[in-house]
Amino acid sequence: MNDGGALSALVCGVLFGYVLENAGFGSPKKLTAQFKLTDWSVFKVMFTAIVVAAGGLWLLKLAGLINPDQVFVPSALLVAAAIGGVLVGSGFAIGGYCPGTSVVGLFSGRLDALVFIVGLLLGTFVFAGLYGPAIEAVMAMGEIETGDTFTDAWNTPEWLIMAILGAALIGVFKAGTWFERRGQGPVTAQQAVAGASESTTAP
Amino acid sequence: MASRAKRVISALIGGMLAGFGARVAAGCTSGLGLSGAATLGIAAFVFLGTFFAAGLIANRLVKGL
Repeated sequence: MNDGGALSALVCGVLFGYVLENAGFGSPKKLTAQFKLTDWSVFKVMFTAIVVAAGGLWLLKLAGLINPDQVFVPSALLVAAAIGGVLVGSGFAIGGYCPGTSVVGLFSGRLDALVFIVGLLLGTFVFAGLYGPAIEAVMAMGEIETGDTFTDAWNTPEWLIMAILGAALIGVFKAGTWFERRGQGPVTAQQAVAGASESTTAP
Repeated sequence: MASRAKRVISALIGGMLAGFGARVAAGCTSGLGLSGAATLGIAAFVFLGTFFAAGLIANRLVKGL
């Protein structure tokens, strides 16, 4: 990594942390409310971020300002992605955080976030300890060999995916607002920060 | 069991699952789900789909504990 990379990592990290905390994502109560469908902030923030970033990358590529080869795209290892999604999703619902938000939670003063981070390290050690031909074989399953993006793999035009993502964003906001009105409304800032100074907080 | 002890155990187990899962998928919610989806990577959308489905189910299963 060059010096510019370290500097941009620092700037992006500060902004990311600020925005996550500002959205209330240091609070396991706020985060897990997404899975109860009573507060859709997680989806609203995530989908907005995806559409803004995808749109920005798309425009920069069209303008010739970035080289598409320099953009990191995750490998299309679909079985690994699916299994990982199940584990991170259930870990999120059980533990109250995802890896990134647990760091935000810790610096909001939540000790349960520290416990979650210890769990993350343990999970990583267990993975390293078990890693071998068996795990490797499972993780290599379901790879799409023709490409990692929809465009590379199946020639889906990028504008079509952008349009679908845009429609999905509108859908998330509409559905989210409908569910939030149906229930008791989203988790308020006061409810979100409740218990931040205590050692444990029920999600 | 005291609610405090219960919370420590759930945070620890959740963290272990998420840590193991992030190694399997080579990314977490932000690194694979969010950043990967922004680059229109197929793996990211698969991850987001199973992530949310498992979260919904796990949330209902742990509610009674």
